[in-house]
Amino acid sequence: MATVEVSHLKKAFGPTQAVADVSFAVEKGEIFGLLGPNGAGKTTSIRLMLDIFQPDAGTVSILDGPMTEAKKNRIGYMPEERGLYQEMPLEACLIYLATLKGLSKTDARRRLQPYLEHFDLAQHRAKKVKELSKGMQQKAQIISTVLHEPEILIMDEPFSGLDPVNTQLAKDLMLELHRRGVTIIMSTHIMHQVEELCNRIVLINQGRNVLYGDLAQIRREHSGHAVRVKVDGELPALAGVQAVTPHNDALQLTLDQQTSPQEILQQLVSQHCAIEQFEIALPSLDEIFIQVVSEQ
Amino acid sequence: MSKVWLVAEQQFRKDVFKRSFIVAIVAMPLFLGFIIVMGLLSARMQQQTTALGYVDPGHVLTQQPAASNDNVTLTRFASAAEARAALDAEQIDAYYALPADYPHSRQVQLVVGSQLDNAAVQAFSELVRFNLLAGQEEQVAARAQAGPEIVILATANNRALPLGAPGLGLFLPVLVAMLFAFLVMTVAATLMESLAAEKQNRTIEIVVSSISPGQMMAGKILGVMGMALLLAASWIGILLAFAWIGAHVLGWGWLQTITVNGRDLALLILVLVPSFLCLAALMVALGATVVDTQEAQQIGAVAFMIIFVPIYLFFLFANDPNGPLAIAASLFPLTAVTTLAVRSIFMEVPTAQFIASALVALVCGLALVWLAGKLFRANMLRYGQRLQLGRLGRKGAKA
Repeated sequence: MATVEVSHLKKAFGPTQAVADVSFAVEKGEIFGLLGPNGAGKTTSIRLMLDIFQPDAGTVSILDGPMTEAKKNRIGYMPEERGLYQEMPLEACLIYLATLKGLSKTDARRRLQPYLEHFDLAQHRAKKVKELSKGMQQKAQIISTVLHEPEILIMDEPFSGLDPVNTQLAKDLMLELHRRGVTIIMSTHIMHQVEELCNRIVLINQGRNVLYGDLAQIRREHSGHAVRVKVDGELPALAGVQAVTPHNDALQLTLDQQTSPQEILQQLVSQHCAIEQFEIALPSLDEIFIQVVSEQ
Repeated sequence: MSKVWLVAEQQFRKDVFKRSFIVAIVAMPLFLGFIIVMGLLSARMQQQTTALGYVDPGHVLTQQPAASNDNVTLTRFASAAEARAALDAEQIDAYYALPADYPHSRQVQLVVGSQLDNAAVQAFSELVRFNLLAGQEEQVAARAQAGPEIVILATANNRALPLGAPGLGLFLPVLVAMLFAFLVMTVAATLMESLAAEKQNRTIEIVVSSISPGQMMAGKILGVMGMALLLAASWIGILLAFAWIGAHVLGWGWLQTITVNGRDLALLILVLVPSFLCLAALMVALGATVVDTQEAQQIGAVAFMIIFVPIYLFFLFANDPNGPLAIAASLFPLTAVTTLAVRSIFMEVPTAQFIASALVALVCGLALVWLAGKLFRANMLRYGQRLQLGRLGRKGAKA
């Protein structure tokens, strides 16, 4: 059974239909991408999953059933709009947030120590949050999300506002948690991050599913009948090629329906071309995203 | 530990361990002390020694009463001419001239250089009365010397109002109402600011992903109430200490004879509890609609002016304590406690009116709690945006 299963969710705010029909399932231990342009309904979908909002229709099953107060302790959530208690000392703030996730103060303090050291915050533990730099506060925010060792990690635009160093720290942490079997759902509209981290995705637009499934499969499904080739010298005339277009420093060959990529490769070899690059032309997620959203 | 208690503890610590709380505790005795010291200084400054002369050719004023005002000196002159000379020489401030047949005529002439204070007039009256009563029995003389004791009995209102110096006990319900108003102000304003701060700090979404909004609200209310009770206990303790010092060290009689009207206090507390609920819920509802803490403070200040409206209408209620305006203000939850307290000075407010006020406050309080919950859930994640009431429609209300 899926760790998270969302089925036909609907949510409106007054006249605005924030989520019209969103469904997806997230398997245990995977990194799942919740994608969509700004205003697509990603954040609302997450809030519906977390029972912060109640759906107008549809169901959410999380950790084998509806959300309960006890299950909230097993979930880590980093919202897009982040914040910590500015007037509190850093350590007290993180311990308080961890106790709200079910940890005792003693356990929270014990678990916090290595995180503070790992993120270079140990010497700032007694400072008020407002006295820390923005980067330090971002690191503290990441700690508060994972300190209670959640089974599911939900991150809304996890790298938004992070500098490159903290972005890498966050990525490393996500991959480490993934290795430990934590299920991760990340919502974003930055596609290359998804390509780098996610196994499966759902793309929503205007509150509805438009793409859903395995990332590699989606790319294959959206690939045209084309190959990308780079040869030393001029490309010879090839049978079965409809069009040749430049693509970065290579050429993209659009093939007719009867010609396979293998036949093109055979032709190149038989003509003694020095092949530097030959690959099936798979579209990037960015291209798929723009294509699908434009079609909508 | 329950998450509600965790939130309550966090809120309590945040509110108590800050400078403004210490200032709030210290401000009360400082304010009281300031009033007392200013009162004493003012009384002392008003005290002046008056030299008063009198001419008594009929020898009526032959004896001096045992207790006399130390600030008034009385000097006998043999003739009006001597007294006038002393007045002109500014040796005395004024003199009384009694005619030789004063026991029959009861006429007396007062010659004043400038203004004469009441203490001097009273001292001379006491001297005359004492001597005229010299031949009477001791008890009769003492009663006549004490003068009239007027108590206004408002039989229709079941109230006895002593003329001159009404007891502090009469004003006790108003003091309780004032304490209530300050507590509500403190609790609700702190609560409203706290909710606005959660939004401003962007911590609210993290918190409501760990606990329900209802739990968060309950925890915050408990924490703020704990702070308010500590503040109230401190103030009551300080007031009692002042009362004890006033009664036993300074010997202030009016503090020794306080009588408490248990019925009025008990009925007032009956109204006070649902009114508190009503006001706290109102502040939560307002807190949900504001954008930041500054706006919360401004709205809170306006809202609480309403609580004090009955104090501004004190004389109107004194003239007609059971009039339509007084009854209407008693039924309006925001003004009920203060109005009933003020009316209780002048009349025994019917029990049915107290119960009606309590019921209205309870119904309004529950309705406001419901509304506050809806407003809070609908608006808690609208950062930097004002609430649109249209969102409270059927679908929005499910948020």
